[in-house]
Amino acid sequence: MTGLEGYGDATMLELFREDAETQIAVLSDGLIALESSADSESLLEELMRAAHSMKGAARIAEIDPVVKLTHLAEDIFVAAQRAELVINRQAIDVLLATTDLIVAIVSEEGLQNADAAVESLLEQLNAIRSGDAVSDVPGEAATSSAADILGDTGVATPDEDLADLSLLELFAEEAETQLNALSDGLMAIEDGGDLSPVLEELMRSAHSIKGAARIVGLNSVVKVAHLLEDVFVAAQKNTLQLNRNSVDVALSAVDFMNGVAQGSAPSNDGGEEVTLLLERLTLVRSGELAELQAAAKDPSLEDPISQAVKPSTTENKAQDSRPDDAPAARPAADKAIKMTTATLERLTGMTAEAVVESSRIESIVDELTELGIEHRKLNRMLTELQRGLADQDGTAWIDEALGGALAQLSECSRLLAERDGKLEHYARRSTSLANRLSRETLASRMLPFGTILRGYPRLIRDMGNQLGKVCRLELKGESTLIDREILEKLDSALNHIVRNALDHGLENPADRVAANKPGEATITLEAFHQAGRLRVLVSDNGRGIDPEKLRTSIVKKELESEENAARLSQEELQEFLFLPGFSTAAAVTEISGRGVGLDSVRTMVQESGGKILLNSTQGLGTRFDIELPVTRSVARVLLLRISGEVYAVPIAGIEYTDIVAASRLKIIEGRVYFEHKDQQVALISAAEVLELPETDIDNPREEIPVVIMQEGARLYALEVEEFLGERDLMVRTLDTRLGDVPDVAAISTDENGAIVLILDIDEMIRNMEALISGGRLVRRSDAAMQQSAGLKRLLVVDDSLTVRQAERQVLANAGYDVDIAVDGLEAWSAVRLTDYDLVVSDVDMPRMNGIELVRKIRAEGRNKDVPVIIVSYKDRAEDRLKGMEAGANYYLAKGGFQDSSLLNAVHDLIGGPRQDDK
Amino acid sequence: MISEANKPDSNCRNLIGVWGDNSCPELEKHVHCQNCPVFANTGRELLARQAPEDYLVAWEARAANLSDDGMVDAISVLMFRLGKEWYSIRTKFVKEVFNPLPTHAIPHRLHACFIGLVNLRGELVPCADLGKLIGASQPPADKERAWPRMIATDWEGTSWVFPVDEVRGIIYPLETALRLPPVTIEMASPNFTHKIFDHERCDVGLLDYELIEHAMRSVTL
Repeated sequence: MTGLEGYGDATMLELFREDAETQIAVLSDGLIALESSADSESLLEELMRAAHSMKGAARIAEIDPVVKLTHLAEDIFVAAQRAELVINRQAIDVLLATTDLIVAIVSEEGLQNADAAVESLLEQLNAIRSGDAVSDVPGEAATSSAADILGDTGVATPDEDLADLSLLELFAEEAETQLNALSDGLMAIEDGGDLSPVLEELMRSAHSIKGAARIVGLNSVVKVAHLLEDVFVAAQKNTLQLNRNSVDVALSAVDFMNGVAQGSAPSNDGGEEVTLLLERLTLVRSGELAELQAAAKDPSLEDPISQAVKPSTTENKAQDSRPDDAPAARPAADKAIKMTTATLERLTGMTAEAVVESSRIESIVDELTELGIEHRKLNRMLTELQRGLADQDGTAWIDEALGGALAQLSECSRLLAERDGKLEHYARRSTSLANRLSRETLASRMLPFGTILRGYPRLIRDMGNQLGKVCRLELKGESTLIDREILEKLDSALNHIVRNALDHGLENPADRVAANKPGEATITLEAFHQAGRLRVLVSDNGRGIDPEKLRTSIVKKELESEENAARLSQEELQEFLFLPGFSTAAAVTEISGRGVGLDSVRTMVQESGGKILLNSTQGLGTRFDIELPVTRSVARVLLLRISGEVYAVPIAGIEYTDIVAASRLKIIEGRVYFEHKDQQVALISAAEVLELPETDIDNPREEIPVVIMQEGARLYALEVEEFLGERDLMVRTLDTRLGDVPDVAAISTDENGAIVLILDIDEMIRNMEALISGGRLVRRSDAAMQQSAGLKRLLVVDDSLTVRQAERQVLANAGYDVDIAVDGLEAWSAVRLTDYDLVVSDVDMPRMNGIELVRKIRAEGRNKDVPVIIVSYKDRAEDRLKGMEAGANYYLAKGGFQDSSLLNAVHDLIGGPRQDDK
Repeated sequence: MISEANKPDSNCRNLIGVWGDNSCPELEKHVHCQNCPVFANTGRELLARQAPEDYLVAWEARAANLSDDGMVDAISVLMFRLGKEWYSIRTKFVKEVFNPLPTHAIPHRLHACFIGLVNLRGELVPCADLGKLIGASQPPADKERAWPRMIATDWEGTSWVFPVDEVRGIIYPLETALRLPPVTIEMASPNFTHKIFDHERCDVGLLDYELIEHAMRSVTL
């Protein structure tokens, strides 16, 4: 069962989640208090009520496992109230685990495979209820030792920091930090070099985990961590050499402890897994790993516990140093808090406003300074007056009065300057504060690339071993900051690609050497910011993609005829790799080869507003080039004035800016051009593209500010009114009531609080292109004219030029008026601004796929009823279903347009090509 | 505290103060009446003044006017002017009234009623011409009589901003005073004025804000 799908409906769940949070807090607080409290009566009453109300709520929300769990918990509390049973520490452990499980079940992520955990807890709860818990719960020694420690340190008393965390949660948190350190350290050992600092670190981490595990009574972890610590100590003393095999064992120990900490592995120490692990670790420590195969019968295997007690000196020493270790480990685990995007959005808005307000103070400072200048002018005038009067008789009293006035004036000037200075200081502080606030707000959405890379060295090592390949991972740009949302999506995409590269991309060492390459292959993960976008490169130096093999595969899967396949370019061929169910792998392995990977990778990248390119050279390697927005929060832009208002263009989209003299302009076919480096560059007014009123249309300017943009080899010049300078703007989303505004990517405010619209360069270029090549694709009046011409107007959407042209030809030959769009986004612009009779769309397209396009068309806008035919290579039943569910009227398999099926479908839906045809 | 020394004519600001002939000797010390204790005291007295005798009587009458279910028979509306005509919307739909802020147009959004966006303390709120939407008479007779304001509304968490030519304030017409609009207005479609009442010899239309909100949805697309 995956998460909560299948339990109740969503809104009920939301309510329940809120409710459960409160009750769970009561339960865990109460349970922890119960351990140390004398007044158990009122506590039990409270606990019983909490369990009872959660049971009721869970029943309404139809979350069956929670109903069962809380029911038993309630029973136990009631029985304890009646003194039918005593809730001991073990029972409390089980009850706390029950609350943890409920938290996991109702959490938004849901819990994978909760059933087994629920079953086991229900059993344990039943055992407690029937009073024979003590014999049933394993690890009595563990709990009693935990109790001793608890008694000593008083950790169990819920002090302010720990009040809302169960001990297990605390352990999981600390373990995560330490286990990461262990993993990293172990990987470092394999890399070689000076090992002593690494071993020191490893030893400390193992020791810290041991201590933490002892507090929560996880006996198995205590033992494992202890042996691990011993191994590292021995290695430090050079009495033990760590080889690849011993690192393997140590890593599996880390995995085991991780499993326990996350609650996904059994924590009792009677299990087979633990026994085997302890055996192996003992072997490693005694340096006898070579005899691993014989391990099971090895007589040298002693009781790990008695072993653990022996090196007591080391342990005591280490224990003394614990207070130092523990705080050192803490800062690494920065706590994340949940915040709704709406709150963050409002916060961003207010932050921007704070910056604006602080800049207003600065303008008051400037005004005061101006007043000072006026003072000085007055002073000069009075001084001149005094000088003029000095030559005349009988003016002594005037002279005196003027002297007084001058003195008064300079006092005023002094006071003013002083106030001005004070205010300026204040303004500077306030501005700096507002700026820091705004930077911090933005930073709160960003994390370094490195945060998702932690698992990769391990992934590559383990998989390499499994596949018999030797591979090194190179990481670059680990500190590159990336938006949280995007980072999450990126992680799973990278995982797919790296697995693919290892499995298919890289050759065996022998083959590599035979091909004159170093035996050790390299996979490089690299992230950097470029032109305001995030680029992530995943490259390997493996065998690359064989185009002939790919062609054969395409023909064999009947996706293209043999002659068509032969004509496909390298790029078009590689497109097939992104199709669902397409795999060139000879065999499906555990790691990859099912052909689902790249399809979902592309979907994920596209969903985040990015694109992915595949670049492969046979024999030399493969490179995936992923381009994503760094964040949706900040953009470096050029501010412009268009139609008397402020707009912005992302710097990344600008080729260059220029001021063009009116004399350089010439008119060809009603369009204005100027020459630049032998190219005729079309000049188009921004107001015209944006359908805004032109200002000063009667007053032609001598010099025209233009923004030059490039698409392919072609340049386009956008005429604006004025350049206002470069800025970094906090990007915000447009009010949803405005829908998708064509040519506008986002919205922001400038330092004066004025609204700025950030333009979408790509979309503008397309609209400019349409304007140049005869009439606007998007003007309403044009649409009306087209319709009066009496032909039905169709829109064909496909990102492949070949397919687009083929479909267009079939339809145009049949007499329809056909427009084309290169992807879903362009099609979406077109559909909103022109009345089409029918839309024919591909599914897989960059930026907006066909399914999304159909959904958007159906959901809003004036053309929501336009018939849509989907034509796709994706031909599985579920793909069809997805298309039809989105609202498509027809779903055709690609290749269909070569015969009459496309035309038949069009006829079926809208009849003949003339408006009056039925 | 109010001391006798500070208590000459409380109207002095309009006679000898900065709103008068500037002849008050205290001005040398305080520069502006706003800094003068007399001015401050006048303000404080205004708040502390005795209620006029008929005030209590008036409220008593009002309280006596409760209908059977205990509700006062009056509604609370914000009265404002568009062109030459007076309109009102229920106060519960009003978020705030403020001095006009600059608007920013939105490309390709050509609906005649849509003006653009307004930055209301960091919140970017769409702004529309209410007069055009409901078909009110065009600009006021003379510019002198315009005290332009903007009204921000709130309906289930969504906001609109409407520029108006003047805001009279919140008034409380009695429900019994509400009449159906005359047929001529009734004929206009869609009909946003669902009631009419008199206020100080003006005909005031009570607008159906929920209907306006609904109509606004197509304005921005």
